[in-house]
Amino acid sequence: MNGDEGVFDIVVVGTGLTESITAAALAKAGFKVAHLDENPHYGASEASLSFDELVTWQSAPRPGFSHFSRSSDTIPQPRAYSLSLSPSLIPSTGPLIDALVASGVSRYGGFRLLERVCLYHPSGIAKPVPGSKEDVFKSKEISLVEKRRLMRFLQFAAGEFEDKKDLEGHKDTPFPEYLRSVFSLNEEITTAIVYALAYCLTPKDATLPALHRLRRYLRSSGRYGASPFLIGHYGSSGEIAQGFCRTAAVSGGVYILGRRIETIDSSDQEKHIIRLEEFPEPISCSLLISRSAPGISPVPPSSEPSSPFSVSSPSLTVARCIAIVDAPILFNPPVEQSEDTDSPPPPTPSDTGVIVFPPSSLPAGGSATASANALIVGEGTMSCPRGKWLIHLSLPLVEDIDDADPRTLLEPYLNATLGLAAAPLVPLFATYYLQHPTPSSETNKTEGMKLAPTPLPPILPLPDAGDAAAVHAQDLFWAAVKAMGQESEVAAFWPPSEGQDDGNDGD
Amino acid sequence: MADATASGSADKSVQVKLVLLGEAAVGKSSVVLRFVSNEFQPNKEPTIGAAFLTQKCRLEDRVLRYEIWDTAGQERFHSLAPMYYRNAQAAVVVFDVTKASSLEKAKSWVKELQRQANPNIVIALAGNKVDLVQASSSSTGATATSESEDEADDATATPGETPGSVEPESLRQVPREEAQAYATEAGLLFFETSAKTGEGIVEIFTEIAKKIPIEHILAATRGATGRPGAGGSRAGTQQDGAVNLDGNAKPKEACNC
Repeated sequence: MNGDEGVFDIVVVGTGLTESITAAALAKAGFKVAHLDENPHYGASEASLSFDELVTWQSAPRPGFSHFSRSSDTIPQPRAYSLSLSPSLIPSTGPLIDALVASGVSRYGGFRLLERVCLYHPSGIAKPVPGSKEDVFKSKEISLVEKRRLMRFLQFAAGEFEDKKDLEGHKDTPFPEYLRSVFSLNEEITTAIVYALAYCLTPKDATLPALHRLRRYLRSSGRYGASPFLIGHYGSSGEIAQGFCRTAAVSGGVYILGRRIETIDSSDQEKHIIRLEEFPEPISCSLLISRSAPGISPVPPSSEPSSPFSVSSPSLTVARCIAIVDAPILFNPPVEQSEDTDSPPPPTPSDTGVIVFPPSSLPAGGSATASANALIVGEGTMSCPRGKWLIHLSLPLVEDIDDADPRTLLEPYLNATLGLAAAPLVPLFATYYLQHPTPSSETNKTEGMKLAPTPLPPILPLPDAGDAAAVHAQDLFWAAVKAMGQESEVAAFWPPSEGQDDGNDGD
Repeated sequence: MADATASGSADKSVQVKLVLLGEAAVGKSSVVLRFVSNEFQPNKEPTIGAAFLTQKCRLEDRVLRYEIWDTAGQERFHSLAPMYYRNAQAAVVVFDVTKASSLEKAKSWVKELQRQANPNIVIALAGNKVDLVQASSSSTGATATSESEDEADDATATPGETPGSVEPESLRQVPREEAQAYATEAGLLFFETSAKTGEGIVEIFTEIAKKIPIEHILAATRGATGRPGAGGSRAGTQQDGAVNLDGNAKPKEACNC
């Protein structure tokens, strides 16, 4: 670099989804942005890694992660895998989809609908979850009385419930208790709503945020298909982060990955000077956006309970597992496909599906205090080769378990999932790890122009991580615009003309 | 052709993702601009806002629709995302015939493509700025200098590295034979090109089109699921469960083609 090439308005450190969306928006708004990551890969703790990258990644201590274990270091076709470190679903309407479309990043990647959601039953079967009023109507398992109560609740949850009497005094009531007492729903339906429709992490999750989530999901249904949820190709979040980074680069952002930051000198009031390992010239910037900016209190997330990421979002440690199998997990088909037959049709394979394990749903060994999920994806998501499936398990840890071993915690769930295959199934590979909340910094010191994002909780309700990143990117974007003194110049999070940036068409 | 009809609609062309690679300032963006718009902009603005460019390419009996991806400068500090290579069915690796080091860089990009990309990818090597070394052209030292600046790959914002005012013939640092020999050995298409005059530009994209295994792409597109690397996953046909976010947000049509 020479001349003023190493001089930037803003340097963003870390290529997690929040930072990547922020960098894209800032570059599009006209700021000169440099985006750094010490990792050689994009996506930070939301990365999608090839098999070999995962092995390398686990071979060194990683902040926020611990207890790595894996069954082997090799697998055939290692590069055909995109293994997501913290997988999630994307609601069809919401901040992430809005950001993808408004920024044009949606053109870079492929998406699939989530095909199945099943609820694991202690008897060892996975029952389809009625996700819409139509499903409920068609269901033969639900009695007429229950149907009426459930319909009434779904109507309430999809509407403007904020000021309704049914909610009065219940905003902080645990959601299962609320459904039982106010809507008189039975245990089975309550469980389905709480864990498989609202994706609550624990039975203690409060009613108001759960209702807000449920409404967002109910309204997402039908936009791109029956399912409210999408999964991005190639491991979703990590690939989407790459798309936002590319958009930032197309708008002039400079990308430097795989270089350790040696020093950040903020002694000059006007600028930060950043020295990178094995990089000849230092780079400088007016504003530094970094999670690890010392002595800076993070930009707070929204205080709105309706936000997918708010100040009250709980931050729990999560145990995770990624397993690779070579036979499909079978799902019981959704209700609508069984309407013309008297006996339910046999379970069938599916390219994408979620199995929800409510608390105490495993006969032995599972958690009684939290809900686990298995997100299963096949070759249609481009994240594994043909004939292989990935099982991503996650279990929030409610109690402080000092000697928590993710393998001990999750093996019962993996075995239960494998038990849904047509024949006994042994995984080709399995890895386990813990992901921890970032300790919050309690300082209010401001030292030069620095901003820090609030790290996302390690686990959010399965469909919320991407939306949480997108809303927080917006918080961060406006904080940066303000810090740069450009509030009067920058009109919108995304310039309105975007979305048609396809260049010319040779027709 | 039968395959096109079978894919759902006869008027749909086959979409082919093509990625550009090459050292900064060899003229990657200008090569594409010439192909897509038949233009050469002496003072081209950086390619801000262009996600990718599209251009149709007609062969005798079929139409390819190139979706051309520029590096947007992410190659500069070896920070190209894996996403860049995904599903690419073709690549144009550009070097500058007046700069020997740019051919060495091109060779390393070819290696990277062979490592990262779809094994069936069609790779073409383009020795650009050939107008600078053609004695017959009216180039004087002055125009050569300005042209070199013009061709700086704006997306990479590299400072123009000007060869200075030298006689045209002596500017050549990569003999045609040397590049051709390397291309033959590595199994690449090879053309010398000039984004400024247009020489070789249409040819390179047409020859790539002839080598693309279109039937293979169509077959992959028709299949129940797209395959990594086989391409065509975004070729317009709605596969089972695949979603186009930019579509008018309507429920998936039942299509069992």
